[in-house]
Amino acid sequence: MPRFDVVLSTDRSLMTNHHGKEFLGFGTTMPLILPRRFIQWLFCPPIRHRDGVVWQAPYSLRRAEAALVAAGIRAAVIDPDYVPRYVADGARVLIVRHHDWFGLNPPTSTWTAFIDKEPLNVVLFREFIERVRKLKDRYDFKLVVTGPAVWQWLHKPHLVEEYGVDVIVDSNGDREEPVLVNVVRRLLEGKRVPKYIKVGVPDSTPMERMVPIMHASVNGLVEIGRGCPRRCAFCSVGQRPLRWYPLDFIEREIEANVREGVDSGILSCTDVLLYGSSSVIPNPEAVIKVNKLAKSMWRSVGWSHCTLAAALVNRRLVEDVAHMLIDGEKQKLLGVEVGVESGSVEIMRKHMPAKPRPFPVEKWPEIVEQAFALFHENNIVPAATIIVGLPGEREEDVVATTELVKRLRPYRSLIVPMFFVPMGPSRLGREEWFRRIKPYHVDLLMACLDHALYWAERLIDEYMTEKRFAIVRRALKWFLSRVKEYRPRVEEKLRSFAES
Amino acid sequence: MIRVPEDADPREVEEMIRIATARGCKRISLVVVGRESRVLDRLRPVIKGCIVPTLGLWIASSEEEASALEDEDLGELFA
Repeated sequence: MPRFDVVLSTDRSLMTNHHGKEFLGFGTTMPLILPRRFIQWLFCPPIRHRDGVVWQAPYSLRRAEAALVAAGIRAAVIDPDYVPRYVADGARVLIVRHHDWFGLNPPTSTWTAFIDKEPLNVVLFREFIERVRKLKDRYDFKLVVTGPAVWQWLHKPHLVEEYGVDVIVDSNGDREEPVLVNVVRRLLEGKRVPKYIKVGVPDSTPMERMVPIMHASVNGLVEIGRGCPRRCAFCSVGQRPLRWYPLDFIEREIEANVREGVDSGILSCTDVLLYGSSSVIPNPEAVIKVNKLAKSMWRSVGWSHCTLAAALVNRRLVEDVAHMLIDGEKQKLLGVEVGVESGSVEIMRKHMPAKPRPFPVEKWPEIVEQAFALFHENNIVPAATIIVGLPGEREEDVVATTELVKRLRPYRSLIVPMFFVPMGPSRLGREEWFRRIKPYHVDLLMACLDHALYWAERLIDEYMTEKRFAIVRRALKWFLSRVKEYRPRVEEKLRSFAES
Repeated sequence: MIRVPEDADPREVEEMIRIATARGCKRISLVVVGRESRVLDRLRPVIKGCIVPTLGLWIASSEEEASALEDEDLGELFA
């Protein structure tokens, strides 16, 4: 077994490749309404490893690992079940990264608002960190927690003491490799480090200091840029400068995946259609190039996010890229997350006036419908988010969103409602949490559920075509049938919750 | 580096950070003597709301420990 001075890890909800299907990762945020063993197998099965050194790991852990190794520090991403062995074998720093430590982020917090069961990811993290706590009693190592959601520890300050957290590195939603390397160096030298480090905007990692990943990331996800020009108030990403990675950097990261047998991947950033652009107008040449590069190296290519407005600015670009990626044989669909957020022009104007740009904000509902139609025609499947309970939201705003969701029914997609959470680094970070569900919110939630139930079954067949997914496909269908069966009870419970 | 009393009003701390930032400070160390959970709880709005500058929160268990921290350089973390 190799030895490492620094071990990076996280719990099973993230140390998994979700059967090679990234969308299944959402399942880990659901409350345990069915037997845990089944849910855990379905949404986050263990990842292959050798002596605990994992085959695929979350991209952010890979970036941190690469930066540490490049700095001459012996570090590796280790399966959570093997962390005790490596700590016992002399690891002096354990870095744990997560994006929803206590289930306070959406969509986890949305489910738990009305379902009285713990979500799987919360249970898995608690079990993991409790094991780490016990290890701290036996071995001398430092525990560093990091990631975009570490602000959650500020809401559970007693747990910082209880679990023995030594350092919290808060990167404001950005990655923080150089800071992390310096923190680790100081810890290894026995020097003091602040309890809480919040990396300000001027200390964002410059491109020249970024180190490409050396090993495979979960489902081949590679980042192609950071930041966002739209700067929506609820989101942390737009607080950071917009940077696009050069093609040779992206190629090296795809190579790291291909070399280790990951033959499909995901291009990740806030808007793949804005790759290479410094505004909200796509740069067609750059977008074609990055997708062509990915498709030349992978069987199938997914996108993490894109914006609806960017898609409509250049419809031809969307058609061309879809045509290039979706070859019908190796790839039948292109999945992507998009933000609808609201059907209310007033809400858009107040909290995200740049989201519809270059189109006027008044056109937002039309932009959403037209972009969904464009995607549908080109076999692009959006998984859209809706934010419920943004500050200043009125009944008519929610009704407008519900109507929009209903109008989107003809288009192949999923729509996920998320209760507003004042996330740390965003401009709405000090607002109140959304907690008071009204009857009109229930109408919206049910419209989203009905939309999902309408499309999910059809999508399962198109999303999981290979034979090796037969059991997972069957399990998902059974899961869906249970959700359908529970639908009336869900509505009843929501209505009683809204009235109480 | 700003020494902050354990029972400081978060709004006052925020004002101190605002003044320091206006004077051109890109990185600020806050040094507090007190219990970790209490300090983190009390300064939550300050830390959560801060986007610029970079913050380092040092929590010391005694005045002596806090004084020793005055020699620490937050800049080294960003070198």
